[in-house]
Amino acid sequence: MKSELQKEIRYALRSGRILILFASLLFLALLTPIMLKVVLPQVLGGEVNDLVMMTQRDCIRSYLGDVFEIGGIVIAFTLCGLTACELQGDTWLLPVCAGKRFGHMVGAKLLVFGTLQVILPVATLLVDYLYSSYLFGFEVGISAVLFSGILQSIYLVFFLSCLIMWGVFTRKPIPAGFLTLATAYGIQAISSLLRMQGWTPSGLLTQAMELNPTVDSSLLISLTVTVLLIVTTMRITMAKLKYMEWNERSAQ
Amino acid sequence: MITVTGLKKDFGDFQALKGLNMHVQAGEVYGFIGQNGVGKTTTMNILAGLSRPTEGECLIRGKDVTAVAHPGDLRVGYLPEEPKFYPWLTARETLLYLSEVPDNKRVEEILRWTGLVDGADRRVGGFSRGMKQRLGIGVALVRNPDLFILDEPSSALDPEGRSVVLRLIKDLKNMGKTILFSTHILDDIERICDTVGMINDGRMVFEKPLTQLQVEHAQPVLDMIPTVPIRPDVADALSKVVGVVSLTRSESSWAVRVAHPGVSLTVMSFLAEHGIAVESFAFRKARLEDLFLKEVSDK
Amino acid sequence: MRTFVLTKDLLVILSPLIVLQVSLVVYCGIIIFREGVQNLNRKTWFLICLLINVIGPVVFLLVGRKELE
Repeated sequence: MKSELQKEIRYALRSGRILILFASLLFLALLTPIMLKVVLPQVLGGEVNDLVMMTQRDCIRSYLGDVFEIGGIVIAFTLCGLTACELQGDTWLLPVCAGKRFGHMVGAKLLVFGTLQVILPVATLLVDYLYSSYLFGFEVGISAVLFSGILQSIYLVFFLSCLIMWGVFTRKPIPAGFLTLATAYGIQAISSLLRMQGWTPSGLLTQAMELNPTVDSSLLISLTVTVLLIVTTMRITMAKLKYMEWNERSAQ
Repeated sequence: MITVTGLKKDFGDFQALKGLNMHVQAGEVYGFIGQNGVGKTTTMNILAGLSRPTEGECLIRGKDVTAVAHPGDLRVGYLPEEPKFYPWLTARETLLYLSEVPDNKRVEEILRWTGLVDGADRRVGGFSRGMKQRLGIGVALVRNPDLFILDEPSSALDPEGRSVVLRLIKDLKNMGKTILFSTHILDDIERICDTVGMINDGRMVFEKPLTQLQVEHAQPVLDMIPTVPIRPDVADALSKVVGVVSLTRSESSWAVRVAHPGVSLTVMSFLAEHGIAVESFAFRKARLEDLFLKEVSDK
Repeated sequence: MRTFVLTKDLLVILSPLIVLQVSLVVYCGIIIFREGVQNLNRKTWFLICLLINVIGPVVFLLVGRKELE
């Protein structure tokens, strides 16, 4: 397992994937406060400005929303090749022949990039927190921000597991990215339409927006559902890989 | 080492293998020849546990290949036709990653053996085709299996690269390994094989030791270049001489296939009788190439 | 809409974004001229990185970077 983890870390560093994710998230973290503090008042003008009072809370919420919408797209297309390219480019063939277990190979991906999905968004959320406090003044406690950041990260790990699963099914990176986005936004749309966000991973995002660090039953439900979904997608991925035929000739 | 009986593989309506039989003994170099698309790669994929047969039985060391849970459990050093590595890893890292237990000393040995010491810390993405092929053979050896399955290891390489790969295969043989490799370059077969199996249209055409094959099919050929053109009626008479099997003409030279070398005397006296002087009169053995072409055209 | 005035305060506010953009441009510039590019030529990629805020460099790193094969 150690060698697989090492390989994924090298991939994350050498392909610049970490940098892309970090730069994009940081950009969102820095842009939202500026939009709300500088650009929005300029656009709206003086009178409306007094009616719409922006606070740090609004700013962090807006950032969390951006990460789901724009950040989701960036994450999907940055990491869409995680499993799809391995299959498309046959790079998994030699490791499989060398006796690498599917569980280890996929597990290492989930672990390394899952950890990144926690570290990077939380780090940029803290940047957003500090920056917005400089612009708007402190309003929200750091524990609330960290709590929301962790909830969002758990959601992003679910997002990642979808990417890994769709990559194995489509064997092509771009379709895998689109399918993951469709899954994520589809769940969001349907659950908000049916008012059952508490029962889907989207509930984690709703809870994160609250910026209220308390654990209640509805949070536990969406947390359990998310973890179960991650386990299920991984199970499906493993089952698919187990019955896959390798090195097929496209001509035949 | 390998026993294959009645192997069939269908891809939808297409039958890639139609009941292939094969027998590879321990410690030999087995050359698998055949044209492109006759089922060599399919057979090797099944033997490496990467693909499942539709019908038939494949035994490696007496065990059924479909019985293992994971291709890696077969302990076969497999080299695909075009080995794909992670371009962002170096050669050394690739070997370490694909080792069972990371062992720097063994990796160092393999790098030296494959001649990749200088490129060891360069990223594989910048490697030439030949270097990748050598790295692929190194990767196959890193787990030290006793059986190697190499798919067209030398076909896409320049003559120098080919020699290196053939030397590596010879080294493997000297280490006591069993090697099954496919190729369509007959010269490679003649240089290193112990046994030759020829596959055509999803079936084994023949499977014989190379030496036996050479004896059986070594009908001597007389190549001669006459100084004057041979008239058609004289050529006809020559082909009817006892001991002459066939007569073919290409440009100014004639190839006379004879039953045994002694026939050359009869041919010489025939030429003298008809007053045909020759520029050259040479005797050669039929090469595998001729045999291969004959087998393919016979089918 | 009011006219947009670049004050000293505004510059201070914008400084983190500027730093991010400049460092990305420098990083991508090094990659573009050292490692090479794909899909578009070097000059175009460099202009994209320079002129499109952050998204330019990110897009370059995703699809423009030369993949070793």
